[in-house]
Amino acid sequence: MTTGPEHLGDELQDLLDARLDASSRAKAERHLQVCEVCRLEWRSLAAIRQAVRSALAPEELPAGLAEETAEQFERSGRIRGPLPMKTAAAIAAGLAAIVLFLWIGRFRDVAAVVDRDYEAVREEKVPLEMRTPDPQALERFFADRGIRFRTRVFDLGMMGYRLVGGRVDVVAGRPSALFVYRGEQNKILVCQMFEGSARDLPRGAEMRRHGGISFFVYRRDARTLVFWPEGEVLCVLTSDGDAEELIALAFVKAVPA
Amino acid sequence: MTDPSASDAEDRRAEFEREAIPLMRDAYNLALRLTRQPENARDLVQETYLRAYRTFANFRHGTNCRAWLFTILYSVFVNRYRKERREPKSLSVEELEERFHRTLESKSAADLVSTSDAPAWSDPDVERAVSDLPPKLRTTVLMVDVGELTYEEAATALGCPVGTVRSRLSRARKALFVTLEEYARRAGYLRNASEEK
Repeated sequence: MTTGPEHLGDELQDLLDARLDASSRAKAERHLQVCEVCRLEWRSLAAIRQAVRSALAPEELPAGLAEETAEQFERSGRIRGPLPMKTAAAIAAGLAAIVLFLWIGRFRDVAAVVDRDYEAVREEKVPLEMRTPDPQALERFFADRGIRFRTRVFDLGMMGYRLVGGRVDVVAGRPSALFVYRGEQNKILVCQMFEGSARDLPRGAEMRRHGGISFFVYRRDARTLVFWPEGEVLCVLTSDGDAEELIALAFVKAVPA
Repeated sequence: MTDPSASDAEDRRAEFEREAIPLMRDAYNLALRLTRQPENARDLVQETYLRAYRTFANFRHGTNCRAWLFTILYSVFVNRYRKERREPKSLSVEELEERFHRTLESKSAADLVSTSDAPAWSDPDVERAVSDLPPKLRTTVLMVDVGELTYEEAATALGCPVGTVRSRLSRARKALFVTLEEYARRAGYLRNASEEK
């Protein structure tokens, strides 16, 4: 064995692979001059390394391999790399602006979406999923369709509006119970209920207080939207009719949480 | 106006062609020794270069591109070809050391390596002996002795400590010496060690 203190042991491999510093190498080489055992082992290892390098000399690349690989580059597109700082900063700023816009827009859209829904119903662009004059039947329909909160479909007969029917819509990504009334001169009144709070509403509302409840009134040309919260649900009435009449209707039908 | 990102991509591609493409022959040879099948070696090289091309931005300039390519190649090889294979049982370190030094003590073996600069072993025998090494030892020899990676580069490529590379290389060379000595003795180049005494 060459692992005793008098022999180089593993240092032979480090010498062979040029991993010794100058001082250690000189010391090892001096040892090899006087130690036949280590010299024999060193020569054996060197011979093996040389034999392996010689026997496993590199073969030529197969014909066409480089070309085929280059074609794959073309098909794979560009190298993915880090974006230049300016480009990355511009993209980050753009994304931030989009997120901010969507965040703000999400709330602004609540009124816009309700407004748009009213228009779609008025022009009969969206079908009602259930047509019924029975408020309780429509409430059951909403429950069956997965509306999680308890809906209150008003009976507005005393105010000259009859219930037509309803559908499940979506407002700001949340399911909304939408129901439609028709009044004199074929006026349309739409009510929606969806999970949300006053914080979801956009700025610019006209505030009204009645019976301890805050009402948020938005006017868009001849159209009026009146929002109010009931617990975790936002309710809204929309109509092209008289604004004060609609607001009064909301006052009557709203229930404190 | 030139799109700066397109220009950067072109620069990177040019650099890839300059750095990595000339090493394809080395990569192919490593792939060939690992897979032992020319067709598999072709596939392995193509997959390696495709991955290298896509991730060339990760290559640190000034480092060894061959080592970086070998790292990718070995990773692809392990994932694709070595999933179900178990490491065959090899000689323990103690057994190997004993056999290595017993072989060295044979005067004929000493003559074999000391009387000529050129080893007497035939290339096919060496190739066979390397091929018969346990995979981890064989891979280390291929990376360091054939691929000329440093221990550190080989350790990165193989995903193991530098000390493990050192120890595998030591065992591999000694195992090769013992095996080749046996081949030579069987072929009549050497007398049995016991006949010497």
